[in-house]
Formats: sequence, structure tokens, C-alpha cells
Amino acid sequence: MLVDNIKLIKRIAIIVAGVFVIIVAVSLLTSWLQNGVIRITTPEGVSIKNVRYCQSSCEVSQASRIQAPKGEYMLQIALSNDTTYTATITVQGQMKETVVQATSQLHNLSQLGVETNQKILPIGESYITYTSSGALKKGSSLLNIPLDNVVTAQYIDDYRIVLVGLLEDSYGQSVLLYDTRTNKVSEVGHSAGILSSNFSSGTDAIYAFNTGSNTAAITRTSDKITTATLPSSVKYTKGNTGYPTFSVNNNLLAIVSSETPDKTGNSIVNPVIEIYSLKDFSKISTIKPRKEGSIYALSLSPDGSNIAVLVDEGYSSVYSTKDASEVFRMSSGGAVAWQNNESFVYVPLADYDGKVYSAGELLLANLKDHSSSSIIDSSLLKSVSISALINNKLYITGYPSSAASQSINQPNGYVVDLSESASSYISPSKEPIVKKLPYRSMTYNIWYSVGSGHIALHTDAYTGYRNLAVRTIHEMGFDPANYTISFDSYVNPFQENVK
Amino acid sequence: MTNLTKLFIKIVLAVLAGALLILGVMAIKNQLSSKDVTFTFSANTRSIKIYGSDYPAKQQKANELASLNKTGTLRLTPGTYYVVPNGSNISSASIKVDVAANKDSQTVEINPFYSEKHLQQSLVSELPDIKEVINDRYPTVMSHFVMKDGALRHFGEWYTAILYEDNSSSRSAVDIYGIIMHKSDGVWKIAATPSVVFSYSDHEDIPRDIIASINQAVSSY
Repeated sequence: MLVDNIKLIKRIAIIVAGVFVIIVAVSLLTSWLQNGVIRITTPEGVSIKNVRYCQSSCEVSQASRIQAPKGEYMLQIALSNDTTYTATITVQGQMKETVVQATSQLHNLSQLGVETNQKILPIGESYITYTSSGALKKGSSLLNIPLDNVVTAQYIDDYRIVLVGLLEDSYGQSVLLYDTRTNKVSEVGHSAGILSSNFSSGTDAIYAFNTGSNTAAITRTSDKITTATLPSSVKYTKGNTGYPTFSVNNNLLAIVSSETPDKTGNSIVNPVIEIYSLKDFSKISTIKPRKEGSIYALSLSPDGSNIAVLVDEGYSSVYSTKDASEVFRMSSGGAVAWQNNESFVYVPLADYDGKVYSAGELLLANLKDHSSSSIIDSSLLKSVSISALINNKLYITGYPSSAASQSINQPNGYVVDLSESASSYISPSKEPIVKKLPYRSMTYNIWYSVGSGHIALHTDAYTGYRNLAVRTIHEMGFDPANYTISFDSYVNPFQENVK
Repeated sequence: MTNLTKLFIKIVLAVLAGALLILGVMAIKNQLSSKDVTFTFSANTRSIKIYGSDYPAKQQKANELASLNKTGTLRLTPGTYYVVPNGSNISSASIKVDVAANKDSQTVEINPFYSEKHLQQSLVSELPDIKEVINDRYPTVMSHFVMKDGALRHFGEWYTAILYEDNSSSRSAVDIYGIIMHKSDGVWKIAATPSVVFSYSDHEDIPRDIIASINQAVSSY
């Protein structure tokens, strides 16, 4: 009896063990079939700070080798050199490795001026800045142009900018041309109802909506404005702002509409982007964003083949205008600026937890390989706003991270030369003065610019304070003789009065 | 003598022999690693004293390692040394000398700049020529600019001074300028246009210490 019972227990134990082995084997096999490995490589001397890999939800890791279920992932990698790399990757099963090379080509950040306005555009050797409340400035001087506000402005050439704004003691909005050679502004168009306007990328064409009468004021040259009436077939919604969100290039109009528009047209439910030919307003495609949310901006690529759809909370994407397919995914927190038809610069939405994106990030997206990487050291600025990308130079405004600049009320203006080679990049760790500037005081400011691989210092110190500005550089712990220092609005009397 | 005492003496002798052996090896090693350093004196240099790397911190209290009264060669282990020269009309500022480990011998030229006192005495005879060159070059500006703190430097072939606008009538704020001049073939020339600040890269033909000192003088005037 006892022997039989022992035999039974043995059999049960063998069966249980067998089942256990089968379960483990099946689960291992399933895991092997269902999982893959993300392997991240970094440049020499650079390590991984954080990796966020997202499908419907996100996971965070510090490892360079991550096991993840197969599928498509949005990968965001924060690196130890204050740069970020993002990529959309597909992880395959059978524990296959997907290798991601987290690299970046950093460019120098050159300061154009201290406490400029929100937006900055180049003009000749100087620059124009403006805010939504007007205050148009050339360099640090306020321009005597009677504007109550500036809706938008665009660079035409070295001498001219075109802008849309409200002239003082006037009504409606005017399309204005500012010529730096004559220092005059001429009105080239006017409309009572312009509430929104947009520029064609890479041209001087301006498109401004007169929302009251459903017409588009269009100019194809910078000094002539024509008005076109949109046919009723062009559907759009105005949203909470009261004006439509749209983008144009020379051939296409992209505008936010709704699958289920309400009667007022002010509420956007189930938003879609309608793409029309600008020639005859025939519809080309309808894009349904991957994530429902408030679309705050659209931006067509120069050739119109792709469109960036910028959605609140960072759920932004780039879609093909031909077949409405998603070609790029990003967490954008501001405007985009197209470099060419395959790449653009964007500001990622800063993290709530600060694990991947800091507020000073500026990324260059590459549609070909579905990746983006930092173009400036993110430790230099606290926040960034893109103004324009002209002739491969990116014009931005931002607040510096340096402790000496806490009292700044307006952002500073900067330029990033994207045509610079990797060898001309000057790392802030090698030029520590970069992290100490700009210096701001009641009497003068000191800032820096980068050109031809070296740092140049600038100051706006007036007569009697220039020596103090030089002493300040010395007191910061730097030898002034190591830099070329230029003084604003200054002529050396000894250079002018040589016999 | 007991066996215990004999053993004790043997141990003491063995320890002494070991210590002597170690000291001998160290002395030989030191001698082998030392390099021949030849110090050649300029005409004005009479003698030199050589100190170790602690000289900047201890100055005269540092240990004097060696001295020479004429051009000669010393055996020095690789490292940093400071040479303090003595002579007529020369500066007694220390000269840093690095003895390299990868060279069997090296020559160090001891050619100190002139002393401040000698340069000040020389300036008296040079100043009229210097002023004439500046006034001739900038006649308009110098009619209302003042020149201060002029000094000859190195061997008296460099001159720096501070220039500023005479504002005694207006009392308005002014910028301070520096000027650098160089005497070549017996003629004074303006080496750098008077400026608020000079950079090394713009004036590669001017010694760095000249630029650093005039920048310091101008910005703190």
C-alpha cells in the first residue's frame, strides 16, 4: 500500500515537473518569438543618460541594450554630452538586434543681440526683431514704423522684409514692405479682415486670410498683392482662435478642417487636414492625424510633398500630401523650419520629468532615416523659439542658461549656421566662457558669436564703460587678449585720425 | 660573548648592509637619470641660483639646489626648476626651466630682461623720440589726449603707455587706450594702433607678456 502511494506521488511529481518544463519552454519560445533587442551605440566618450521607448505607452531605461516586445517604437535617447537623438525603429522578434547609432552633429550657437524681441530675421549685416505687439527693431534700435502689431514677417533678400501688421490709426491689417536701403515701409496690400497669414517656404509669396469673407489675399511678388476668393468647395474650420490654421507653398494649400464640422465652424471635432491645389483648389488628399488633438500649426515642405502637422501635447507627425501616410513622428513643442524637402528643424516638447528633452533642445529631423538629433548643446539655452531658416542659417530666440542672465526679460537672438563643418564646432566645454555669457548689467552687456572656428566677444558698452567691460571679462577668469572684442556703435579715434 | 649577542650583532650588520645597498642603488639610479644641463650666461649675467619647483610658493625660503658663477654645466634630474639670475642692470625675476627626461643634455640660455630701474633710466633719453613718433602719427587726436604710465620693457626695445582724452574741461567719461611701440634698427615705430584692448591673434609679432600687461594696465586704470 505504502509502496503504491509512493509510486503515485512520484508519477504526479514527474507529470507536474513535465508540465512545468513544457510551460517554461513554451514561455521561453514565445518570449524568443515575440521579443527583440534594441542596441544603442554612442560616439566615443559619450554615454547614455536615459532612453525612452514608446509604443502606446513609454518605458524609460538607462541601458544600452534593451529587450522589448516586437513592434514599432519611437525612441528618444538623452546623451551625456547634452544632446538628444530620436528615431522611429521596428523591433523584430526572435531576439533579433535592432542597432541604433545615437549620433549628432553639433553647430555653434552665435548670439546676435541681447534682449531682442520674440522673432528675429536677418537683414544685410544686421537683423530685424519684432513681437506680436509691434516694436519692430533693427539691431538694438527701435524702427520708426507706426505698427500696433505684427502678425508675421518674412525675409525677402539682404535689404527687404515683407510683413503683415496693423498700422497705427488704421483698421484691418496691412501687407507692408520694409526696405533697409531707404529705411521706409510701403503698404502693398490692405484688408479689413486679415486675422491669419502664412508665408510660402523659400519664397516671398504671402498668403493672408480674410476670414470675414472667406477670401485669401495672395501676393506672388513682394510688391503686388492680389485677392483670390476661395471656392465653397474648400472646407475649413476656425477653431478657438477664430481663424483657420493653414500652410501654403507655391502649389498647395493645406488647411485644417473637420470630419464633423459644427454649424458655427468654431469647434473642431475629428480634425483632418485637407490638401488642395492652389491652381484650381481641387482636393488632392485628406490627412487624418494619428492622434486626435488640437492642431496648432501646419507646415508644408518646400516642394509640398510632405506636411508637418503640429498637435498639442507633442503628438506631432509629418505626412505625405500624396497618400496621407505618416512618414515621421515627433514630440514637437513649437514651429518647424524646413531645411530642404527631406529635413527640418524643430523644438521638441520639454519633458515633464526632464528625463529626455530639456527646454533648450533644437533637433534636426531627417525624413530619410526617420531620425532626429540635436544641433546645439542643449545646456546653453533654457528655451528656444524658431524664427526662420534662411540660406542654411537658423535664426532663433531663447533665454540663456547662464546664471548671469537671470534678469533678462526678453529672449536673446541667436543664429546657428547649419552649413558649418563638424571640425569648426567649438564645444562649450573647451570654451567655458560660452557658458558664462551673455553678461548683463545696468550699463552694458557682453555676448559672444562664433565664426571661422573661434569665439568673438561683443559689448554694447558706451564711452567710459568699455574698459570696465574688458575688466569684467578678466574678472570672469578669462584673458581678454584671447578674444577679438568688438564694441557696438564705436569708432576708434586713432584709426580715424592717422596722418 | 653569548650566542644571543652574536646573533643580535649579525642582524644589525645585515640591516646596515641592506640600508647601504638600497642607498647605493638609489644614488646610482639618480645619477643615471640625471641630465647634463648647460647654462650659458648673457654678458650682463654674473651668477645664477637654482631652486626646485617649490620656488613660486616659497620664494627666498625655498632650498637652493645649486649655483653657478659663470657659464657651466650641472647634473639635474628631470623636472621643473627656477633660475634666479644676478648681474648688472638685469631683472632678478625667476626663469622657469624644464629639464626633459627624454634628452641626455640640454642648453639653457640665461638672458634676463633689463631691470625696471635700468629701463626707467633709459626711458629718459628715449621718451622724446617716442613722443615725436606718436604726435607725428596722430597729430589731431594727440592734441587733446594725455599719455601716462609709459614704460620701456624687455631690453628697452618695447614701450607701452596709457592714453586718454583730457576731459578736465568737460569732466565727461572717457575710454582709456593702450599703445605699444617697438624700436627696430634704432627707430621707434607704433607696433599696434592704440586700442581699448589688444588680442594675441591680431598682434602675433608682439610678445604675449607685453600684450597681457598693457591690457591689464588699461582695463584697471
